[in-house]
Amino acid sequence: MAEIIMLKKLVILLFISLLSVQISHAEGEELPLFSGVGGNFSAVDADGKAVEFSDFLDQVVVLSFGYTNCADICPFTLGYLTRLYSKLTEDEQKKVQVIFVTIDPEYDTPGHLKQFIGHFNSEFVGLSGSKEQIDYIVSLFQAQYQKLSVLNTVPTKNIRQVTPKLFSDESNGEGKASLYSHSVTLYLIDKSGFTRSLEYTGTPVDEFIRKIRGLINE
Amino acid sequence: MGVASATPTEVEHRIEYTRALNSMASVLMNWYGNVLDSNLNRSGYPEKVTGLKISKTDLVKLELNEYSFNVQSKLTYLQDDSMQAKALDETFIFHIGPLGQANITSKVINKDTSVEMMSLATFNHDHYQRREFAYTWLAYLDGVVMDNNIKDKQWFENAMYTVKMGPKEIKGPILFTLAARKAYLFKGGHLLRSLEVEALEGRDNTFILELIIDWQGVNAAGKSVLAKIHQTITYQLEENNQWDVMSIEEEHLLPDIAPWQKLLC
Repeated sequence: MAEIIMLKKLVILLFISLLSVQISHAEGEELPLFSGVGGNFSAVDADGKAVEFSDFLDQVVVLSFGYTNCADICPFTLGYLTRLYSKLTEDEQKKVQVIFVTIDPEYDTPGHLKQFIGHFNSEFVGLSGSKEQIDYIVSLFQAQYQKLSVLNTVPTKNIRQVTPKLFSDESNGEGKASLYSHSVTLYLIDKSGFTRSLEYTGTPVDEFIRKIRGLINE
Repeated sequence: MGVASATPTEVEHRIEYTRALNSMASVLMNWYGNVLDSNLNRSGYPEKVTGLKISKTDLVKLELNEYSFNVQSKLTYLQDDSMQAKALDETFIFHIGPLGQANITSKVINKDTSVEMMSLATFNHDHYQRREFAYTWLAYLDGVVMDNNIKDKQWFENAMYTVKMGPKEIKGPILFTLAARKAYLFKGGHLLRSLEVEALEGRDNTFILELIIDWQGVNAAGKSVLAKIHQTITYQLEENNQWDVMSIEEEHLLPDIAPWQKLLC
């Protein structure tokens, strides 16, 4: 069963990669505001502190959804964002915030999320919160996620994890987790908090950077 | 990359196009609805048309405020107690008035050929009445003052109009909601993408019309805006076949910009 899911996801990743060849955006294009997509929300950061999305105003934000036990698209996405971020100048990096919102707040505690995000780039922000908070953020951005199996959880030892969670409170050091499917969209948000573009890991890095720079310079 | 505001020319072109299109489409839907109305008789058409399906259209701008609308259709009709079918190729010439209203100035049938019988039962008077309403409503939203003006309808004052844009919600009578909505969708054009209708369960003659609309334009600050609008319009069909619109609920969805955006991984 797990192999079928993995195979299905690999096919989707391949499809995404192929699409990237076909879709290219013209230089000099404008980025319109997407009406009704995004807005302010509350969450919990990787240090366990309550934050508002409005705390990130005045920065260009790249926001994505995922979870730390995701064995395919999330590491792929964060690797892509790490590469993208490294191509910005130091000054530009200060004006850009990459945000990763977990869709599995039950498993992804702030501490674990911090460890996971830090594996890619310690400047990136991982946001967690209550299930209600996460569902509200997902609905604001009209993203989707669903549990792959409502009834069963999977032993984490069977999941290809980027950073294993430390189970200090649990016996045997073993845990179980749920697997999810979720939206792959990267939301490009301007300094005023408006969603201005939808991207994905198939967007050519140079093209994405051009859009980010355009928003930095607005 | 340019700054994030559409040029005035682009916005004006969009508005001119959608106003003309919605206005002309409303008139055309009324025209074909009448062709299917057994109480009316349109010259050039069989007397008892039972179904009419538009298969192709072509809109060409002839000059300022003049358009040619070519429509290819298939229709079924009853003649001497026998069902017949034909294909029509017609061209309507429209003039757009100062308030955006479209008027047919001439119409010619280019081709009229018999074809094999087919079932067009769902392409009836109701089919065209719904589309006439949708295009008239969108023309109204774009500022067109039509001859069958939405604002003059009895239900206009009473219907509740709710707009949900992410965390923002506006609710009230149509004029109130439109005034508040204008801050976000100030100047632009509505283009109908799809229309679905279903009867409301357990209620006689009450229907739900679902419209998907693309909107492009600028907000009150002059910034370029893109919206994918989902409107749910609940209406009651009265005995005289008139509509009584009870509510309009609008939600702004994720615009369709790329095939991958609905992928879950």
